[in-house]
Amino acid sequence: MIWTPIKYRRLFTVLLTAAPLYLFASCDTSIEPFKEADLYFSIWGYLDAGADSQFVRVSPLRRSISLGDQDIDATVMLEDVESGTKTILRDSVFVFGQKTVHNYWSDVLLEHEKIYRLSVANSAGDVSDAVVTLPKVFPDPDVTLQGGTGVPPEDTPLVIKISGVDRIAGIKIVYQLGTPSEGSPTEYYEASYLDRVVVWPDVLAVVMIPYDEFFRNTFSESCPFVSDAWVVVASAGPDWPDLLNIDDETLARPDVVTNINNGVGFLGGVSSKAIHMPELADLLAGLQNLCRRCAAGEKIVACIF
Amino acid sequence: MLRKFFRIAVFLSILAAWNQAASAQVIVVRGLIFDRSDGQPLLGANVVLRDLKREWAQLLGAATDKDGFYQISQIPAGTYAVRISFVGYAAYTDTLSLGQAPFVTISVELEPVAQQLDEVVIAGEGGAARIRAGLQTVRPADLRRIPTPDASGDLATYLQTLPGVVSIGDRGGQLFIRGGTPSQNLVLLDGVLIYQPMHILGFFSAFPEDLVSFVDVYAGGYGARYSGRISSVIDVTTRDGNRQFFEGSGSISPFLTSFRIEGPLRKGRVSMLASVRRSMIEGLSPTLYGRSLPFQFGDLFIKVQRTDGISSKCSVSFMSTYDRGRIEAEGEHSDDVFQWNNVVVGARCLVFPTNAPYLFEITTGLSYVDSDVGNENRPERTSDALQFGVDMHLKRLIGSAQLNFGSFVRMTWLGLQLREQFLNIAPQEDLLFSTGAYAETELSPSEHLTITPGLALVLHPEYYPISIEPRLRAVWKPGGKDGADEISGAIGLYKQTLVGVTDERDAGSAFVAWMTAPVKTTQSEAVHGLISWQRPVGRRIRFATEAYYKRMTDLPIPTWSSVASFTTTLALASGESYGLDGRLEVFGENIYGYVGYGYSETLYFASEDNFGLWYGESVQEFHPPHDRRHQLNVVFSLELGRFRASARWQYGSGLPFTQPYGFDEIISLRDFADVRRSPGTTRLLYDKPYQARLPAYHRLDLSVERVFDVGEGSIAFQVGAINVYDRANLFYFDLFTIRRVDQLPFLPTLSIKYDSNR
Repeated sequence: MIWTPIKYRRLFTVLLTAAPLYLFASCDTSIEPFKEADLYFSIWGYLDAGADSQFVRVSPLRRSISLGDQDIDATVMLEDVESGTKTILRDSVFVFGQKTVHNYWSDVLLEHEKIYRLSVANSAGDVSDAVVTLPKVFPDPDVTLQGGTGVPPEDTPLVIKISGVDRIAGIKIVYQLGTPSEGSPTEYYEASYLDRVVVWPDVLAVVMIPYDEFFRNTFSESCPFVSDAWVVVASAGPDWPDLLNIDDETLARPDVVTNINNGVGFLGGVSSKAIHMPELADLLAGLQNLCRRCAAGEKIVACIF
Repeated sequence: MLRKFFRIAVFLSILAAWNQAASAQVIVVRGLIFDRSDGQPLLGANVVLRDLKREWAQLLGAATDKDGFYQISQIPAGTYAVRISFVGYAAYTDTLSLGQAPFVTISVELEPVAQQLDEVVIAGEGGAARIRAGLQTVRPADLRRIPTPDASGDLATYLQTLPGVVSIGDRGGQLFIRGGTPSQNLVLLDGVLIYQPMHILGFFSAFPEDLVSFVDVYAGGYGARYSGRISSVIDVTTRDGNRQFFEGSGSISPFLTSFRIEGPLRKGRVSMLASVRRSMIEGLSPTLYGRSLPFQFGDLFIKVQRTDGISSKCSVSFMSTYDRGRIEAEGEHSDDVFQWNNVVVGARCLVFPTNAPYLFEITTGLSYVDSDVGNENRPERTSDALQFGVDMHLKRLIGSAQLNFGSFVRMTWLGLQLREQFLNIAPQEDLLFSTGAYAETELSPSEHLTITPGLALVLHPEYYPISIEPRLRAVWKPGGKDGADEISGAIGLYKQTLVGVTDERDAGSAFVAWMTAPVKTTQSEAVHGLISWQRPVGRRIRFATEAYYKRMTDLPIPTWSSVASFTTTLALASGESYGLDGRLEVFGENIYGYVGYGYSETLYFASEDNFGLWYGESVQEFHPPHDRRHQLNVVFSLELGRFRASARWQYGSGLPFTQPYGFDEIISLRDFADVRRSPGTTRLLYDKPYQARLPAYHRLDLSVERVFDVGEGSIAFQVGAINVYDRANLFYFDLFTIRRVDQLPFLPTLSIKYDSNR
């Protein structure tokens, strides 16, 4: 092929056309995936007039999936709105497997039917806060382990009768697993039964069937030894949402269940009572052997449910 | 409903009877025109009759269709000179005496002339700037001009150069056409449905240049013949095998190896064509490119075709495709393997009886797709769809009007297993029976105007009301038949009962859950309206522009969720898409250039149900993730001797995405969880859906090819590169690892192709 001036000119034209394309390569390709907003902290938990200490989960609204081991830049303050009394909550670090979280706590005693403001501020002056009203006092719930032999498959219902509350925040059983020993943390397992509430005249009752709930569902195949148990009942303040009628997906949305200003999450006001139930622990300890036989594949009557 | 259907059927029968009566007085000449060298039908060959005794009489003529079929009716008795011509072929001439027989068949094989076909003319017959009311016909020469990382052109790469066609990235194999979703595109392989023909790597489809005869691409406004999809039609006609001699080709590149063989099983009558392709990139990419490209794909195609050379042709074809790969090579969902397989078996016959004025076409076929995603051995979601159908089409001329009508019967089985997403869809199997009919007539009330009104009817015995879908297409040539300008338009109603649901939150999700209308048994529906104008500017430039509007209703889409791993529900949405395309083509002696620009806007909004509440406001509308506002494509091809250079530059404005605010942990207050004992569930807090836009996308691909003669055949060496200036085009941003995943970087390619037929 002979290169004539016309062909050189054509080649030059082509190169001239192509040159700007290379400039595009240096164009800005960066992306800002996160949106700036006046949302500073995530606050979860509840202030409890029945507890001797308060624990609240605080986390900055962060841009990585894990917080890691780093400290967080937060000052958490609890204020009695009426009296103006202020208490600084202290940081404590809890580790769950790979996850590290910060729970701020204080042993300040809170009073029923009072209004508190919890604020979380960073060193830049950004503040997230929530105002919480605590519920009134309610009578001790009546908790009984009724009838039956306690041996599966016969039912042995646990009945909890609650009265004098406007709204229930939670009903759960806390199990202490294994025998506590010095130097190793005590393990607990919690099971919630809020969805079992049946309304009776003047009382709210929870009926449970230990065989189904404890033996099969709760323990599954691990069959741990239950050394102690408590039934915990909490009444809720006026701000507490009707959680049973909201599905998980809706609950996860930032706008549906929140009372945090300039932040996300929910801080509730409750009054809890814990009823010690050693007889429930005894019952479950007795079932441990049966549970192990079922887990091993034996076809005994206790396993068929 | 049945009564209504039968009334319409009776109406169609009366129409057909009238049609029969009206035909009794005329002489009809028809036939098939083939290429003598290989037996391929010739599309666009001109057949002209000149009355030898009445020289003043108007010439009568017709052009052949995709099967090489032509038909001229209402011919007075007399003696005629017949001339059949096609550019690049020696014309056929004869004298014809018409008088006694009402139907005369002239089927001819044209001899190619020694000189090479004029690329200018060939391109002028197809080309991106030749658009008529949403329809563009694509030919192998069009595919060849677009660089791919392989020795052959491919329909997938070509379609992405068209304005209004959006791909989310260079993997996933999903094409969104003018606001529609991939499952709203009707893709036909020789008349038989193929569900998911685009390969997982976006350059490739099941339709390489070597297999394609031509493709009708309707970006909207398609006629009554097509039903069951609401966005677009991609009607692929494959080549027939060579009826005269055996030939073949083989190619190899870092991305793909392919092998094709074709030839006569019975010379001049029966031919076969077989092609097999298999991807290489997964195995070679770590060595050649130093990175993992975990994609496998391939396809097998076999076609046997028979013709009597006079009045009939039949073919049987088989296609099988497979795709498998990880869309995310790394990151949270990197174990998720997408895979899908298509199997299509089809048969098609075209015949015109010697004593009837019809062209009769029957197509029967079976289409199957299975698609799944998740862990390779335990997929999280699986979807299967199997369709068997028989379609019959009849075509005839009545004077200057052409009547097309037909019917179909289809049976579809669907199987679906979803373990995570789409909460309100239970695992299901479904059997859906449908039947339907259509009629359309092409009327020419004047030399300037052609109008094609049509009506499609679809009946589902269960669940759904009868679909009555009126359509209208029109072409107006202000300057008459030979005038330069052409203005065309189309309007129509379209319905879709089988819907493919994808989770639009997934980056490049290739999983489609096929199901019958999942919410309230409501069919998806669309109304298309479009108008186009095209004109040549001199001999070498062609310009076309088209404006369109689509209104869509009852589209099933996932409701927005704050937690991506949570199950979600489906809601019905409405939508609209509108835009404007501009296309300019330049044909030189050795040069081809194309510039296509598309502006479009697609908006979804709630019809009945909200997508959800968000910070106290109803989420009533959003731009879906395929809403690309601006798109520009530039294609340049240059031939110098035995060298051919091709370049394609693409620009696309940023696609919508949803910005999050950040992460936190939810504590389950319903369980009255104690923060000392509960780690909480990690949550990513999102803004309203699709409020932000990704950076713009652009890329340059190049290839240079040199062909060497080797004996009777030729070897083509092609060097090229994709993403020549190594633009970091974002594919998606993995928020969980704070890591961006880009589309393919600069990748040089070398391919070699041997073709036994020079």
